[in-house]
Amino acid sequence: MIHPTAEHYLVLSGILFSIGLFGLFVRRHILIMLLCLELMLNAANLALITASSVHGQTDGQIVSFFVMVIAAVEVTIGLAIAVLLFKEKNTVDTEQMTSLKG
Amino acid sequence: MAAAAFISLLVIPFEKASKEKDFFRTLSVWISVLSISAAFILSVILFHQFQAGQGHYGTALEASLPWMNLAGIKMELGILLNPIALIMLLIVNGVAALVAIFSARYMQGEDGYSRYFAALSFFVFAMLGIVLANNLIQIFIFWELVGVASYLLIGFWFQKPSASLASKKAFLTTRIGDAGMMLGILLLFGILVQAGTGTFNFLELETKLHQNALPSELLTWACIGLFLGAVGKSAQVPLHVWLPDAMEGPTPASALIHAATMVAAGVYMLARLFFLFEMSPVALQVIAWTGVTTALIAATIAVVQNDIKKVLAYSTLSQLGYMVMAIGLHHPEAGMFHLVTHAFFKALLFLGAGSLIHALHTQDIWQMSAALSSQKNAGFKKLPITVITFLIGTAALAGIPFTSGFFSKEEILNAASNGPIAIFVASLVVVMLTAYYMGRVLTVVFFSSASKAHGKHQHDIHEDNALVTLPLIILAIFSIAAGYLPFQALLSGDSHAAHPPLWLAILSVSLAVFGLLASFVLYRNKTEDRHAALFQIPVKIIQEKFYFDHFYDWFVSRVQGGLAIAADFFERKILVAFGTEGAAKLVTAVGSVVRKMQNGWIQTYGLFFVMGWIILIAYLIGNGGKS
Repeated sequence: MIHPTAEHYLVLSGILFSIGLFGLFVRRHILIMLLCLELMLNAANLALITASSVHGQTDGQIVSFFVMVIAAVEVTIGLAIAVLLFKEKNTVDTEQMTSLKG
Repeated sequence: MAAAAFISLLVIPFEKASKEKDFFRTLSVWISVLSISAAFILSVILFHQFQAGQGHYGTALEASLPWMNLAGIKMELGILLNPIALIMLLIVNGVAALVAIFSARYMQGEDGYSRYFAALSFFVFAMLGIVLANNLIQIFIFWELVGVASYLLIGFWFQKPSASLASKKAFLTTRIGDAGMMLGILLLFGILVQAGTGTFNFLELETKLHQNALPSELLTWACIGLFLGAVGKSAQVPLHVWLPDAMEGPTPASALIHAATMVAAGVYMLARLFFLFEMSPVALQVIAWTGVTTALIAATIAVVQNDIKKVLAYSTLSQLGYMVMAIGLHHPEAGMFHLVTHAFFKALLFLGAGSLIHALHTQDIWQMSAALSSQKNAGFKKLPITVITFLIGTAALAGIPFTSGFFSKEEILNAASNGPIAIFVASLVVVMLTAYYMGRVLTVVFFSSASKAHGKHQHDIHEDNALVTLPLIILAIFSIAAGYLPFQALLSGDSHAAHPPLWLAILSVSLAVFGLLASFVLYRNKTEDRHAALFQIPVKIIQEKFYFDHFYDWFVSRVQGGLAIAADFFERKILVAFGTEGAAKLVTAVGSVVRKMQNGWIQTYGLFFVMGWIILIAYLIGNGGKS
């Protein structure tokens, strides 16, 4: 059995972040994009906690709590926006949402 | 006292009877005539008081209010009375009063009767402002106001295109001179500031000029600038072209403005500021030569004119040239003397011409002749006062002895005889030409029995009522009497001034008589002009008025038009294309590229954001984490 080291955790965090970013860019469904954002935030949390345990300090863990709170808030607002957008545009596809086009 | 006259006239321009009812028409005439007459009486009283109070003539009376006090520049609104101003005051008010009375009848039945009197009163107000002004700024302001009044009166019949064009031409042409005058005033002020403190006040100016040695070259330029103002207003060559056209205005207005007073403003200004022009011999030479050129050119053109008002207009130009010439030859008193006598006899001639035009309904001397010759000696029988006063005016203009014109012309010729020989000869030629063209008008209108081919005017020819004839008689009396004024004494207090030599009088009178006789011989009982038959090519040139108007047309359309096209090209194709519009186009072009990035897709924005981050991080890593 392989004992996971800090490197493993950081690589996992990088992979999760990349998946989130990739999903954010390629998916057009607004809920999926919000989920991808969550994924990226949790990847960042994982990196923070890893760094915290490597250095033996609690700073990273404290920051990760902040991130979770912010993520919760962000999901709340994000979902609210998504619902309103759906009401307004009758779609959840971001390709249809181009009213900011210059 | 003069201030009272001044203020009473200030009120009138605002009199405007918008409803052309009879009551308002009468009211406007009465206001105008009474206030101008009151101003005249006041100025007579003033003249007396001045004489009695001062005892001698050379002193000046000044009263002024501060107007503006800018840093180092004091502007005031005031009056300065000296003998020249007093005489001018009498002339302006006297002639204006007579013209207003004449107009009351002459303009009857015209649309805009009240407008005419409002403009006339406004003119008198502005003219008095020039006469009384005690500083350069004030004289310039009233100078412009006089220009406006002239514009209004020339364009009185603005429905006629020629009249509205003439008023525009007069205004614009005099503005050229006014621009020069403005520059002259500012330059003079600048010179004085260099030498100490600047001032616009005439009296202070005089003492300053005598105290300080000023750079003569700059002073000459300042003088020439001021003279340009006079060139415009007094219609000297090359800015004379507006005056003949100004005859489109009502005849009484022409008599007042374009013969007696306004055009004399330039001469008056030169005489009033003579202490300044005296400092610059070069400027005086320019003035003298301009004057004599104008006198000669205008007299020549007058010879071939067929419109009676045009003849008088060119004659005015020529006489103004005389006055300017005399001032240029160090004899401002001769110029002013001629101004006074000319004001009377030219106003007389114009009003007489107006009376003729009124009676005969034409301005053309040949048609007048035809109208009058339908009955034998109709002129004398039907229009006795007009004809006799016209004859007196002509005699005065031609310089026949014992009329006022004789005395003042002698003074001017005396001045010319001490000047360069070319000027003297030219002024003698003008004497002869003056007699000739006036003789031509007289002979054609009154002494020819033209065939009845033209004579379609069979209406009753008669003299108008006293409102018309009375001013003529009064002016005729003055046209003779003004010559006996002790003018030298009035101006300088020196009663022992040298009289012109006798030989000069004999020479000029014989030239004048020769001119009259020549015209009589040539035009007795003729029905058409004979110049063309006698001298072909010169007459053509003269008839085209020496091509001044052609030249200006060419100049405006080609040179100025070309400049305008070039400026237009520069503005449109360079300034706008590369400047304002160019900048706008650049922004648009950049925008059209940049706008492509704003496609409204949230993913694209995210991509840019991430790419920016990557670049930033790559940069920070490349810098080794510093910065």
